Amino acid sequence: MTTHQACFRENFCSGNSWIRWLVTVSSSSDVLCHPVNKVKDCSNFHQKTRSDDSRSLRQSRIQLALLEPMSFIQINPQGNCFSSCFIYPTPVIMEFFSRGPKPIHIPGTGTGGTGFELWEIGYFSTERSLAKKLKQNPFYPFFQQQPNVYVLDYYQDTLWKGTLLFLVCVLLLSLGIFTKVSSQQTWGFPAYGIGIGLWLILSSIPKRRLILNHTRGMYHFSIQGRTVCQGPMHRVYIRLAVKSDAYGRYFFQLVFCGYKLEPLVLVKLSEHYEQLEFLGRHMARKLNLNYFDCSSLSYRHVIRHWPLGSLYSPGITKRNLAGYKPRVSQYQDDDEA
Amino acid sequence: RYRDRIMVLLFPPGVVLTLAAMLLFILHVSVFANDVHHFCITRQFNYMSFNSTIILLFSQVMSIWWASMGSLFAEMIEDKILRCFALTILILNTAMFINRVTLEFLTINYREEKH
Repeated sequence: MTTHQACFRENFCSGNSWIRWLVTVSSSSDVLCHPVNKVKDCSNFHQKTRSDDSRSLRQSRIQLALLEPMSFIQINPQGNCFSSCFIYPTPVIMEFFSRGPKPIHIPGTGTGGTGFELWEIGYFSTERSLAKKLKQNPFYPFFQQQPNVYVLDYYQDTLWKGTLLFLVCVLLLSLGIFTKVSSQQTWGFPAYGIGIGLWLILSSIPKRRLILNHTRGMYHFSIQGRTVCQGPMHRVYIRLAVKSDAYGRYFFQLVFCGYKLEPLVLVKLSEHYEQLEFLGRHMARKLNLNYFDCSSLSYRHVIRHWPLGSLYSPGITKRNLAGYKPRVSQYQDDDEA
Repeated sequence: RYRDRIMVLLFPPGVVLTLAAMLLFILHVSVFANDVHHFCITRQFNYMSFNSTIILLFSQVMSIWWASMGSLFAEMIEDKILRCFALTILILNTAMFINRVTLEFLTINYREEKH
């Protein structure tokens, strides 16, 4: 009896291994003496699991609140205007009927954007605006050309920076404001500015096009129709970058990047790690890309594409699952790797 | 075709930076030669480039910066010739900066009034 109690206490204190305790109880002789203890322990366990569940539920509720502006497939309200048609049968609408039904616009499809979507200034480019854009276009910043083929046309934002620099320097030189400061010739500074601005304009005027082709498993980056780089899918990724300021605050950026690609910053400044991580994972899942956390050693990477032969080469190892215990499995659909 | 080649060659930004640093280096060498010529041979100090010391030093620093960025990119590309070229440009630019500063100190020392 006493030895059994001691055994129970030891097992109970050593952790929440109630199964082990049950095993010891059932293996010992007097099982029937301790239904109360057993029940108590079981209720304890249930409480623990419930608190875990509530935590995970709260987290998922936070994420639902983030997801709420992104209720995906929406049909454009311009598509269903039939009620107005019946009220006003004007010739325009008759012509509309004779032409056939207007194609329903599903967000995220189409030929592509204007190319200026990524030009937001850092103050406005937060996770909230990204969520709004994701609501309008679930494959933001890409457009779905065909199923599993995503296209992004863009101009680099150095275009407007270079133009601004160029114009300011031309103004300075032509007005002769900043050419001489106390017998020192300083016209060289605006001349430098003109040169750098011209170079920036020239190098960023050609339109870039990035194609993610999942049917072939390749990405294709071209500048004005000339191929710069083509490669397998595991070289493109969405990643969370971190910067810290002098006060020790951390700022996170969501970056789309890849081998021989120009990094595209999707969210420039944000302090909310969880929301950014959620958005990044969401975008990576939508576009079927790899997602990397800000620290290189992390169990929050989501890897969907492995390099060929990674299973056999000794340098690359698979994710170490024994090294940590996942607290709650929130991302069951993400755990493909 | 040559336009494709230029496109593909110029868009890794490191090469462009190294080329710009090389152009600046040639410019600095010519200015330095002019200064040395007027300082040692003709002794007409008004023809030296004292009026644009600030912009000269600024552009020297800029060229060193660009050359270092270019050599960094070349290190990442792992092309042996490009790496060698970028490192050479970086070393030449640094040497040019040291030369420039020594010449400035020499002229200051020379023109200082000693009573």
